[in-house]
Amino acid sequence: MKKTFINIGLILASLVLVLSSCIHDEFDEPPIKEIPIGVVLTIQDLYSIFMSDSVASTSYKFVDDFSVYAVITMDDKSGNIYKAAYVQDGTRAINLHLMSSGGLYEGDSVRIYLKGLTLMDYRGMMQLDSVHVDNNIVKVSTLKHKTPELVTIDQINTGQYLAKLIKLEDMHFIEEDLGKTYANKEDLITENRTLEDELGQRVFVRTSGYASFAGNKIPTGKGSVIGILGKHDDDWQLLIRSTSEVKFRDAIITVNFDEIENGVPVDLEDWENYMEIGSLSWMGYVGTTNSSVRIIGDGQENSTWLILPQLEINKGVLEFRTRAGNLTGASLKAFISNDYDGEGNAENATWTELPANIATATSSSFGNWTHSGMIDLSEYNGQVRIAFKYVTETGQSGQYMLDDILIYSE
Amino acid sequence: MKKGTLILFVILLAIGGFAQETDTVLQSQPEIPVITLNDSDFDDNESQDISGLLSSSTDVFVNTAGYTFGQARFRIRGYDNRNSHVLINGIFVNDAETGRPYYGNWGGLNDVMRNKVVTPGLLFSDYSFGGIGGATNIITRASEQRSGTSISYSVANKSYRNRAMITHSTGLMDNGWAFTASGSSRWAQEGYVRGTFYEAYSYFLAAEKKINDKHSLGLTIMGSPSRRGKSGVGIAEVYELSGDNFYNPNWGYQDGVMRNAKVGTFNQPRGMLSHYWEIDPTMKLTTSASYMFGRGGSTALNWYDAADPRPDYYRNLPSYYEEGEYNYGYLTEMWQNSETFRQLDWDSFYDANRKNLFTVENVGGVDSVNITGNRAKYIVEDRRYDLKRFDFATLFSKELNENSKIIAGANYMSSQTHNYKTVEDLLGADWWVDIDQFAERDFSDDYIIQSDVSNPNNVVEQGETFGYDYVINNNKANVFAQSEIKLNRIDVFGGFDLSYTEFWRTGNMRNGKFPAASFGNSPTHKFFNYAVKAGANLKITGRNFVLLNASYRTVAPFTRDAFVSPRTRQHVVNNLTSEEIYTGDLSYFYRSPYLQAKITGFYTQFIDGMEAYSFYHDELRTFVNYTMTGVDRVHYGGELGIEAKLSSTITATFTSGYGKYLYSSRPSVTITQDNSSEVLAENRTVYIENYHVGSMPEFAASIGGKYNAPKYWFVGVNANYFAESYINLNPEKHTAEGLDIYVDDDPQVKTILEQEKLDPGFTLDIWGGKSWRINGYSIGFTLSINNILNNTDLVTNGYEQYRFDQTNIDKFPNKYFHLYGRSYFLNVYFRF
Repeated sequence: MKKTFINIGLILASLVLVLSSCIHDEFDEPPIKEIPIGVVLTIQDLYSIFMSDSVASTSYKFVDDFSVYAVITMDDKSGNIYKAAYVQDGTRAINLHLMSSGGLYEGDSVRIYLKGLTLMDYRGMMQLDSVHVDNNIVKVSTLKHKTPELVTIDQINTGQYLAKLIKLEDMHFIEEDLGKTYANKEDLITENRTLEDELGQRVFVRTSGYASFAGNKIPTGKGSVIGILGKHDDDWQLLIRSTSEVKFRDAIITVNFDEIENGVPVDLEDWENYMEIGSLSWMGYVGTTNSSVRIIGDGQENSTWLILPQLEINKGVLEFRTRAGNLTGASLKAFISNDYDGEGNAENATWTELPANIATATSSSFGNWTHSGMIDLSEYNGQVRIAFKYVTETGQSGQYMLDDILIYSE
Repeated sequence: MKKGTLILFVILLAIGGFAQETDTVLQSQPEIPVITLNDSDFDDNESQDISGLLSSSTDVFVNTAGYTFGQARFRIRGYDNRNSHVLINGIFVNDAETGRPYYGNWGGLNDVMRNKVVTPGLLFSDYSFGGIGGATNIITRASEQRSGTSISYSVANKSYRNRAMITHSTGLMDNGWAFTASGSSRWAQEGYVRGTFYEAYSYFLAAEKKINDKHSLGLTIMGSPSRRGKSGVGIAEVYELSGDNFYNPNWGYQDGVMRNAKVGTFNQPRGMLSHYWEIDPTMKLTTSASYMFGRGGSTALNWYDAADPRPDYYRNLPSYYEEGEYNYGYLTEMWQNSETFRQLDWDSFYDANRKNLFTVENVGGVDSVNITGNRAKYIVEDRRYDLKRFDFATLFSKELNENSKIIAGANYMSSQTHNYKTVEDLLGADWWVDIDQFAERDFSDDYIIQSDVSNPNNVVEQGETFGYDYVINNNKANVFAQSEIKLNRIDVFGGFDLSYTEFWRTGNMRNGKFPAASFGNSPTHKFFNYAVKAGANLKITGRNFVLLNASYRTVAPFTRDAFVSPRTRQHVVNNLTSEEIYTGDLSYFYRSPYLQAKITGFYTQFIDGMEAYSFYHDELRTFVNYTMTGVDRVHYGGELGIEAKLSSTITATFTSGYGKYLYSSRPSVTITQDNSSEVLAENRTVYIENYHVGSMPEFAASIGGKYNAPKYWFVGVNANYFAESYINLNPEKHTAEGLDIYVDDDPQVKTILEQEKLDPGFTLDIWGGKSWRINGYSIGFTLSINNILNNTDLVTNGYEQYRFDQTNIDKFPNKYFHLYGRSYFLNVYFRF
C-alpha cells in the first residue's frame, strides 16, 4: 500500500511540475520607450513661430523633434481648469491642452516633446493642443515652484504676461460681487468676478463651477491675488489656483470723520487727542464735500497726538490720506505701539514710526490729498495703538489734514 | 400569509393523527442514472453555483434543474444559494460573510466528494436542519470511500481545458485503518473566454481508525489552491463591436504576452477531525471539529490621476459620441478591427509609470521627510479576503423504534475574514501613495484624504498593505432537533432550530474621513433566531403519495449586506433586522415500475430582507454602495418531473419549473460612497413592488431521452427551453428622486421603469459514455456536449448598471451574460 501512495505521490508531483510551467504568471517588463529631445526651443520661440508671417492666425503643427523645457505653474487638481495646465519658462508662458486630466503637478519641471502637437491661438490664449501627458511630457524634477511676477494692470495690458503666474497687489472685489461665491458650485457654472485696483482698473477672476473653491465666498477687504493670467477674446482674466493665494485683509476700522463736529477738538470715544507739548488740538473740519480732522500750527513748540482706540490686529495693514498746507517745518508722523496703556502720557510708551507717505506742501499753498501707501503692520500682531503726531519747534508752523484711515487685519 | 402558515401547521398536525404502516417512498426510488458531470462551470469562487451538487439527487426535477437548467442560471424556486446548506461531515461550510457555499473550496476533488446525501427543499435531513433550499451533506470518511485506485483525465473547452485526477482508497483494512488520498490538477492556457487562464490543484487526505466497535476517529485534510484569470461582463455595444458575445475587457498584451488584470487566487486548506461513536445499534453521536484558513482574493487595476484604463469604459466607446462625429467613426473602426485597441494596453501603463516623477512631502506625517521617485499612476492591487475559521459540530441520532427517529445537533462557528489590499505590481513605478484621490480633490484637508491617519502620506511598495484593512468577525452557535415518525398511512416529521449570531468589525486603519468609526472594534451586533419546520407524506396507495411541507424561520443578516461601507467605516444599515421566511410546498408523487412523476407547488414569502451591491463609480472615483432594506419577496410556482421507462433500455424524462419571483414591498435604499461621509441617498423608497427579482429564468423545461445499452454504454439527449427571464434592477431608477426631473408624460419615464425581459432560449445537449471491464480493471469514458447547436446569442442573465444618468438614460446601458456556445467535456478513466 505504501508503494501505491508513493507512486501516486510521484505522479502528482510530476503533474504539478509539468503544469505549473505552462501558465504565465511572470511578465517581462516592456522595454523603456525613450522620448527624443531634438531641437530645444523656448516658449518665446513658440510665440515667434506662431506669429511668423507664414502661419499667422491659424495653427502650427510640429512635425519634427522639438522640445521645450518649462515649469508647471498651474495643474488641474483644484478643478478650476480641466484637462489643462499652464507652463512657463524664463521667457514666456503658455497653456497646455491635455488629452486627459491629471498627472501634472504645479512645480514639476518638465520637458515637453512637441512633435505632433499643435500650436494655436484659442480666443486670445496661446495653447499647445493634444498634449498626452505620458507621451509628450518628461518630468525632470519636482517642487520647482515658480515665484509669481508682481505686476500692475497696466503691465497686464502689454500682453507679455499672457499665461504667466502673476501677483497683483492692493486689489479688492467690486461692490456687486461681495456676498457672492467664486462660481456656481451647485449647478457647476463658471462665473466671472471683478477685481479692481486703487486706480479703478479692473480685471476678471474667472472660476469654474467644478473648482474645489467654487462655493467659497468672495472675500471682502483688499490685498494681493496670485493667479494665472488668462485671456478670453479681449478680456483678461485671472485664474486662481487656490483661495490661499487670495490674501485679503478686511478693514477692522474705517474712519472717514463724516460725523465729526466742525471746529471743535476731536473727542471720539476711546480716542485720545493728547497735547504733550503746547496747546494745539486736533480739530474737526467739515468741508463742502468732505469731512476730516486737521491741526493748524501756531508758531509755537507743539507736540500733539491723535491716538486711535486699541485694536487687535493680525498681519495688519494701515492706510490713510493726508493733505498739507503752508508748511514751514511742521511734521506729521504715524506711529504704532504695543505697550501704550491709554492713560495720557503717550511719551512714556514705546512708539515705532511707520513708513508712511505723508503729504507735503509749500509754505504758501495746499498740496493734494496724498495716499499713505499700504503700510505693512505684520510685525506688530496683537493689541496695538496707532497714533499720528504733529510736531513743530518754535517758529515752525503748518497745517495737516487727516482722513480715510483704514486698518486691515486677516 | 402568517395565517396561511398556521393553517398549514394545523393540517399537518391533524394528518399526523392517522397512523398505519407502509414503506417510505423516497428511500426506494429507483436510481436515476446520472453521467459524470463536469464541474468546470461551477467551481468559480465568484459564482458559487450549487447546481453541480444537486446532480446526485434522486429527485428527477432537482437533478435536471441542478445541472441542465443550472447552465442557464436557473435557480430552484428562485432561491439565492445561501438558502442551500452544504455540510462536510456535518460541518456547515457555507461562507460566514455571504452565507453562500463556495464550491471552489473543494474543486477538483470530485472523486472523494462523490459520497453525499442531498436533501432538496424542506424535506427531512438526517444531518442538519437545513435551509429552505435544502441541505447536502458530503461524507469524506475514508472507510466509506470505494477502495481501489482511479486515474482520470479530462479535456474540455470551458473555464479549464484539462483535468487530471488520481485517487486511491484502501477501504477499511484489517488493522482498523482506512486511507484515501486524492489529487488533481485543472488547467487552461486560455479557457472558453478569451484572456482567461486557469491553474488549479487539489489535494485530499483522509485517514480513519476504527478504535473498536463503537469508536472511530477520522482525519481529513483538503485544499484546492487555484489561480485564474477572470472574464468580464459587457453591454450589448461591446459584444456587437468586438463580434464576440464573450468579450472580456480584463486582459491585454504586455510586451506581446497576454495578461489578465483580474486574477483570483485562492488557497484555503481545511483540516477536519471527526469522532464517530456508535453508542448502540440505534444511537449514534458524530462529532467534528474543523479549521480552515488561507488566502482569498482577486487582483484588479487601480489608477491615480490618470485616464481610465478600461477599454470598455463608456467614454472609450463610439456611443459616447454622436454618429457622424470623428471619434464615433474612429472608435467604431478601431473597436471592430483592432484587438489590441479593445483590450488593456499594459505597455502604456509602464510608460506612464516610469516617468511620473513626483515628490511626496511629509511622508508618514513627518515634516520635511520628502520622497522623490516615480509615483505609480497604474497598479495592480490584490484585494484580499483571508480567512480563519473554526467549526465544531456534534450530531446525535437515535432510532426510537423501527418507525421513528430523533436527530439533534449543535454547531459552533467562529470566523474572521481579513479584508485588505496590497500592491501586487507597481508596473514600473517606484511606489504608490496611499491617499484617497477623490477626497483629495474635494477637500484640501490633508487629514481627510488619508487611508490611515496614523501613517499619513504613506508610500507603499510591492506587497505592502494600503487602502483599507479590517477584519469581519462572525460567531454563530445553534442547536436543533427534529424527529420523524413513519406510520402506516403517513410519515410526519417536525423540527426546530435555535441560533445565536454575533458579528463585529475590527478596523486596523483609522480612516481620515471616519476617524471615530474606522479603527478598533465596532459595536457587536447580536441576533437570536429560530426556525421550525414540519412535513408529512400521505401514502394514499403504494403508488400515490401526497407530500406537504412547511417552515417558518428568521435568518440573521449576513455581514456582507449589513455593513454599508466596511472598507472605510463600521456603520451598519439602519434598523438591522433578521429576515423572516415563510414557506410551504405541496407535492403529488406517482410511482410505478414504468413511470414516476412528481408535481409540486410552492409558496415562499421573504420579509425584511436586504440586498447590497457595490460598484466602482468612475466619476466619483470610488466604490459606491447600495443597500436595500425592508426587501420583501414572494416566490411561488410549480415544478414537474416525469420519468418514464419506455423499455428496459430507454428512459424518457420531462422536467419543468415555472415560478414567479417578485418583490412584494417597497424597500428603502441607502446609497453611500467609500470616500465621503456624505450619504448620497438615505432611506429612499424604492418602488419595485411586483417587479421581478430577476437574473434567472422563471421558466425552464427540458425533455430528454436516454438509451442504456446492455453492453455498458449509454447515450442521452436533452432539449431545453428557458424563458421568463428578467434582468436585475437598479433601485435608484425606481425612486421618486430618480425620476424627479421628468414630467409625468415624459416617455422616458416608462423606459426607465420598465424591467427588461430577456428573449427565451433553446439549447440541445447530448451525452454518453462507455465502460469496459478487463481482468478486474475498469476503463471507460463519458462525454457531454452542451449547447450543441452553438447558440451563442442566448442571454442568460443581465443587470441594469448601477450608474444612472437622468439626463441621458442610455448612457449606462444594461449588461448581459451569454450562455457558452458549444462546449464539451470528455472524461477518460481507469480504475483498479
